[in-house]
Amino acid sequence: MSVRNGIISTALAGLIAAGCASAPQQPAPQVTRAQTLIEQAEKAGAQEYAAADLERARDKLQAANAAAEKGKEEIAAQYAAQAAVDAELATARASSGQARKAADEVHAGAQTLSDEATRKEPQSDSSMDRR
Amino acid sequence: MKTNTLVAIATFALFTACASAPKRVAELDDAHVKVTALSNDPLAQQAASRELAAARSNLEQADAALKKGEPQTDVAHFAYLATRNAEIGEARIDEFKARDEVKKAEGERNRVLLEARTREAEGAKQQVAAAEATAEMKTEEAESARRELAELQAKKTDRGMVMTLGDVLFDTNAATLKPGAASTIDRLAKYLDENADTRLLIEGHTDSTGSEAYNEELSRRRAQAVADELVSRGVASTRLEVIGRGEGYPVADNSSSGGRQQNRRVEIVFSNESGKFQQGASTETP
Repeated sequence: MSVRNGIISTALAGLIAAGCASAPQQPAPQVTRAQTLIEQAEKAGAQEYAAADLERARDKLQAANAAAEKGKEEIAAQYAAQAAVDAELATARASSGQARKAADEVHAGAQTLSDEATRKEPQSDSSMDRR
Repeated sequence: MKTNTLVAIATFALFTACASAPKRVAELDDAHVKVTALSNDPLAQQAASRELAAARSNLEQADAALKKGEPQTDVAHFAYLATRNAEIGEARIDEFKARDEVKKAEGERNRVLLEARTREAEGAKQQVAAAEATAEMKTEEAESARRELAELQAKKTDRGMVMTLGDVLFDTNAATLKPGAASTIDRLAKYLDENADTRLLIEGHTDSTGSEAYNEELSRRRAQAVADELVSRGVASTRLEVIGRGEGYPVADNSSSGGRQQNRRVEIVFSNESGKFQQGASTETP
């Protein structure tokens, strides 16, 4: 959804930027959107699981802001769209990384459990012998 | 995966070679490889259909931009978006796989737990059955012991079960048992054989005729005679305590011959099934 929106808004921004080159100096919607997506990635744990992607998104956002300040709206929109998709990638990798970690833990837990389950048998036998 | 990538490169290389298209853009080549690889992933439709669609759309835009001769930066931009969306799709597939593993592992975990619990329950059931069987056996044992004691004409007193062997079983002034005592001793020995933890306190008593010292000695010898008979029938002497009480504990009046006969006796006190005598039955307290 967000990706498609990104494409649409990128396209729109392109049209607008092309239509009126002397657009007013205020943060373009793509920039705001990229900013929001970066914050979402941070909350999703991207700093831990996808630091490089998150860093790239921040760099792109900075580049977008810099371009916007120079009035290069089209370039700003492209950078912002790239920052947005970078942030989305960071979020996706964070949640994939967390799922992988959970899976590894479950595997380790299952191993322990099955070890214990098989170890329990002789134990209960010997306790019955004692009785 | 590797083969897919190679095929993708080869296909794209062919495609670009034949087409009269303008210059190659490296980012677009990479994007094609990535998107093709994603679309060849068997889980793509299930786990990353949206990302794949977005990546394809980006790719089309990039191809179109290239075809129309738009600035290379625009082509590279759309290729960038295509690549990233393909990578998001890969991440979604990885996540899907991991979640699937968790689901399966949890199923397995529940299965193992259930198995262990079933096994425990089975073990507990067996233990209960064994305990019940033991309890039943104990009840039966106690029941038969009670019956046997009743047969021995033991009486319940505050010293525990007490059986009295009367004067008629002994020769006068002698410590030898008459043959008529044999069946009683047999039953007593059998009882002790079946109740391995029971111990006996064997007490001799006399009437007041004769000296006190003589009576004490006679009572002790009579008690010992009973013990000896039991030992000869295989009862361990350590389970038997012999004591001569003399004339000190009459149960009837010594002034009549009937009373004196009642006083000449051997009393056998039974311990409980763990070898303990009731309070008041021991040698210290009469």
